[in-house]
Amino acid sequence: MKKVIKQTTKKYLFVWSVLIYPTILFLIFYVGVNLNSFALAFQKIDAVTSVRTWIWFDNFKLFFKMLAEDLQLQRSVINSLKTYILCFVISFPLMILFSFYVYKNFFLSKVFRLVLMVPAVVSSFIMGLLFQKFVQVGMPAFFLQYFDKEIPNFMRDSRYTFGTTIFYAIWISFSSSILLIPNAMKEVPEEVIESAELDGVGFFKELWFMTIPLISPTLTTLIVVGISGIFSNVGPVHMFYMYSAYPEVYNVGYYILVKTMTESTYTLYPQLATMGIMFTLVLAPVTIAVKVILEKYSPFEERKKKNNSKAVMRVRRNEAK
Amino acid sequence: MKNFRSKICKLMSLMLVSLMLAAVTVFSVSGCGKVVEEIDSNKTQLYIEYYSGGLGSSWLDAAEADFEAKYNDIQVIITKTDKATSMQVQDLQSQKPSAQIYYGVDSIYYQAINNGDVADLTDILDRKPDGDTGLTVKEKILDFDLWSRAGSKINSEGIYMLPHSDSFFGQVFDYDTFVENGWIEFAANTEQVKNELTAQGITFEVDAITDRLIFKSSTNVTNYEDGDYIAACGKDLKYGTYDDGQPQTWAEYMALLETIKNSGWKGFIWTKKYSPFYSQPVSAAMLYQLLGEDGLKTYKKFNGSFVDTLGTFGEVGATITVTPETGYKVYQMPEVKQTIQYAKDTYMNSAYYNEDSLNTDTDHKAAQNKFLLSYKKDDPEEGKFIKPTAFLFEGSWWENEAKPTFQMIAEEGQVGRGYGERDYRYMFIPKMPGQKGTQYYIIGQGCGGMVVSSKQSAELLKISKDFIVFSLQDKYLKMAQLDTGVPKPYKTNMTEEDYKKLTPFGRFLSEMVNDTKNVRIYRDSVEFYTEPMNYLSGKPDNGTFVTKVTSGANAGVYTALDTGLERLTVDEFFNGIAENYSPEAWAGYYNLVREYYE
Amino acid sequence: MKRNNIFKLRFENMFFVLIMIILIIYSLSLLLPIVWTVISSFKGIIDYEVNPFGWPKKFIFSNYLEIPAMMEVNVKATNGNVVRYGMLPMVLNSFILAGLPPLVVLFFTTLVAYVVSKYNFAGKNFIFNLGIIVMIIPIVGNLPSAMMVAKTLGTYNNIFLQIILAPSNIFGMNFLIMYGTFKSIPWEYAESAQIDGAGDWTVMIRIMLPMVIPTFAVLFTLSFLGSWNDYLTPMIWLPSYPNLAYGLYYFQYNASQLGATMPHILAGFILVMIPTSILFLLMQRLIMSKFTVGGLKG
Repeated sequence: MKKVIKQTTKKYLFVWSVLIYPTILFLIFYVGVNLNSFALAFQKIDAVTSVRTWIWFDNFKLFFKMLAEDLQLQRSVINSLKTYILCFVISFPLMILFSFYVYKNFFLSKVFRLVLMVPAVVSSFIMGLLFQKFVQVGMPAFFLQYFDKEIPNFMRDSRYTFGTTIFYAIWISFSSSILLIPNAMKEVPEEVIESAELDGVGFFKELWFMTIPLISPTLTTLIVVGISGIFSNVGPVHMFYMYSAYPEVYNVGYYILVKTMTESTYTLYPQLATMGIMFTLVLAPVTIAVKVILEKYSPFEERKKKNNSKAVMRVRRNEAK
Repeated sequence: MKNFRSKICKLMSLMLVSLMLAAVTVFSVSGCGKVVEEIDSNKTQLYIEYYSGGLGSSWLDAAEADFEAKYNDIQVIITKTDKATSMQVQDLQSQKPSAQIYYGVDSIYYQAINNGDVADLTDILDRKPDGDTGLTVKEKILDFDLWSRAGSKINSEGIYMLPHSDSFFGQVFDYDTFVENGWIEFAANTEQVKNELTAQGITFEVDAITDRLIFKSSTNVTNYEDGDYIAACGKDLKYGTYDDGQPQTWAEYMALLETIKNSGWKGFIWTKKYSPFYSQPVSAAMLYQLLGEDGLKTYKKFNGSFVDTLGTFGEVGATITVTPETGYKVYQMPEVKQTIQYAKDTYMNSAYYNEDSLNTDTDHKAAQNKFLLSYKKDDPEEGKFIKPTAFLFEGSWWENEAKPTFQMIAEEGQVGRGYGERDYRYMFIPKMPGQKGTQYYIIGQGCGGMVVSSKQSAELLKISKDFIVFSLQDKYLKMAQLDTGVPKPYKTNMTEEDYKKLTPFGRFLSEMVNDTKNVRIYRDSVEFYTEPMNYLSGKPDNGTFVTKVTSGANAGVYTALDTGLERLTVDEFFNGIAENYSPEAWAGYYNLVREYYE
Repeated sequence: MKRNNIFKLRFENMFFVLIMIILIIYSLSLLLPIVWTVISSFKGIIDYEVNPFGWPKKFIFSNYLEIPAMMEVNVKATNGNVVRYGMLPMVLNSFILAGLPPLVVLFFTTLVAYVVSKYNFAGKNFIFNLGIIVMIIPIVGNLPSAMMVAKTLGTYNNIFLQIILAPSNIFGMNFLIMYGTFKSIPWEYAESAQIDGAGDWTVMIRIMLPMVIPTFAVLFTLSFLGSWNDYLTPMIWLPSYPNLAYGLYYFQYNASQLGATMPHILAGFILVMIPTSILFLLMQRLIMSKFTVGGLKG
């Protein structure tokens, strides 16, 4: 019992000696600084004198009213969700396939590894500028000259504007994953791969049964990070349209940005703070739930428990011999 | 594995050490920059923060040098910055602001003014910067009434902000191109016109082929040179002035747009990317000109009455009373709908606009370049991406901003197209049907203010005020105007020699600003912050037409007129404004500012 | 059976050939902005407007030569002197601001992620969930508070303190990735060290932290690249220490006054990209080097 207490004390001493410094800084520079901002959701601020008055839940009532009546806000929420789902469905599998390709050192993989990092190295100003020029000037001129055909302006025609912003978001999305995921894929033991290859296990099986399970913690992290940004992500909307975007491309992040930058900000701070808290109250449990579910049913954990990977079993059998 | 790990550790350590070494260099007080001005411990330092984006600073540098020469125990240190006014206000609100005097890009200092973070400057209004024979600071300020309201506290107490910079907005056109293409209104070859010219001291001859009058000489200063065609006089009834040759009625203006279109040119180019700042001032000028001064008061102060010719509130022709509590009604004044219609008929008419305006990659500089390069229209190679355009929506800073393009054009060998060689002017809004305004309206946008921090010693406060008065001498005000072509919001004594140094556009601006009888400069961005309903209520109108369409394929909120008119009809846009400023929504806005109106 | 296998193998080959084609097209599309920027940076402004996608009519090398003089920024030093920063000093500031704060933050992020992932203690789940909430919650209008705290505590315009106090928010994607990385490292490594008498600190410093070095390097590279292009931090919090990104931002803003055109601005972007590209290429070997997580046997 004494030993247990001593070990527990030692453990806590160690844990808190690591945590103390970041905790103090967090309390001062995050909680202390932002407490005012959190409190704003329950207050009214006089824009002239900056005097705050507690109005408790009036801002929240206003938020629900806005959500029920403000068509643009409703649309923004739907667009934010649509953006995440579409980007996830398209770019997530591609990200895994591209990473696997690079990890396996297939033809030109070293080149791809470098080039796919371009959006992280090149300023977003350049990426955005050329994209806009190409879509609105280059492509129409090209089609007119060589095919004698007029194509729509994909950044102005209401049928295509939203899709174009999704396309751009996907286009620049692979730069961080192409570093992270192949790195995580390297965790698969080489002898297991070799053994699998000897058994004629193809790339798909290797990817599905071995690689993905082992990198599932990294994938879980990326999914969780993605979900957490659903309502704060402005995407390329501001870069393309500044403060007067077409209504069909609005998302929640952009909606808040426009309100902040084009209307009498100080008066609106409480409403924006409330909006932030409400979206957090919705998204935080969802994010945590997704994380818990993914970790619970993660093939990585399952593999450790059940240990039924054919290739792994083969290795163990060989070892036993 | 061990080898690899040690290599990694070595590399990381090397990086860490070099970063630390570099950090040690930077930790020194001045970092690793080169000291250009050192603090003189024997002098008192006066710090100035100056927003310098495109406004020029040679006048301030000259004032600094002369002030230091006069008061050799004072050292003036100017930091040129691109910080927005809101950041300057944060600085002013802190316990120790980093400067004593702040010059801003706009005049949004109301928080600092009302919180006591800036000093009262009332006592310098009666001082005379140019000596006993000159004007007082108050007399020098153009539109003192506006600036005194904008610079005082919300209870009208004191004056805490003075004007620093002015800027105007309009439809830029190349007068020389218009003359070459025959697009201006030429003076008619009639006895009446000839008598008027003679009475003005202008000698002329008649061109037998074109039947136009050709300028020969004048006893007064005019814009003409020997050989120029004489244009019809404008509202000022004088020949050879800034408003000659412009269409005087709406019908003439629409006919001009058709003529331009039929010549293979586009009518208008601007940057929609920075909407609403680049096209909306043109619409605003239309609206204010339609309303006239009385209507404008009702519209801007949400207090007055108007005749409901559209029957929006019931009976057609009824007089509708507006109070701040029912202020939403101003957005349904018939002139608002008329303005939207005119915008749709002109610059948002696909027959007249340059499509590049609506592309997101066309920023303000690209719009300027496309306008300036219109002369390349006939070049088979270079004309491919150029659509020649007659009007550019821009601010008064535009010619200065486009200097690099002018220089390149001149270097290409294009004679007469370099900086200051073309006669650019603003085209005024002609008289519209039902117009109540009697003057040309031009919107003043982005007018900057200057303030002095109150958190300093009495000695430094006195020095700050002395410097401000010193810098408002005529020579520095003129220097600022000569530097950029844009006059400061103060009266200046420009001589003929001074005018000759200005570009034709600079001279145009000067004439326009000085003709207070025929031109109404409405400094919209400053006026906005004199009305609590505008800037304290949270209503979505930062000087824009904001519409909310609740049904149909184009449903949504459009925060700029040009974005909305791409998709919506005039009725949809106008009715959507009522949706946006509904009585229920307005009640919420009014609630926040009730105390200032009751 | 054999025919089936061959068919599958061929299908897999075809599939990965398809992936290769997609990657080629995608890579070309990513290289296009760089190529276009480099080509356009040698044009004059007229050439840029009338010939946006073509080869320069005349190569104007002076666009690059004129940049260093144009990108100079005057700032007020902490002692009140006015100091002029040229390109090279700004590059140095960029290295410091992009290198040190992310390094310090990432170091503490790693430590916190380690204890949260590997130790059971009261508050562990709270810390993790707090990390997620902090990532989601948007902060509105905190600049006045932050400025007040910074000026009161003396961190405003103090580069040293800002580096030391950088780990005020160790949460975010980096925390989750480090957490996940540590989670995937078996505790057996620590157990075998503990059997040999290693304490918690020894296990952390000598066993666990070295295992995450490649991940650390990846995250540091990404943070570095992100901070390199950040002009807001020097503008708001370190006005006496302008970095290259701020210099470029200021240059863009005042381009017309300086006689600069869009091709000049593009040339400026290329110059700013060069150090990060070199660093990234150097880090490639470190990040991509293969190594096996062995050591449990024997």
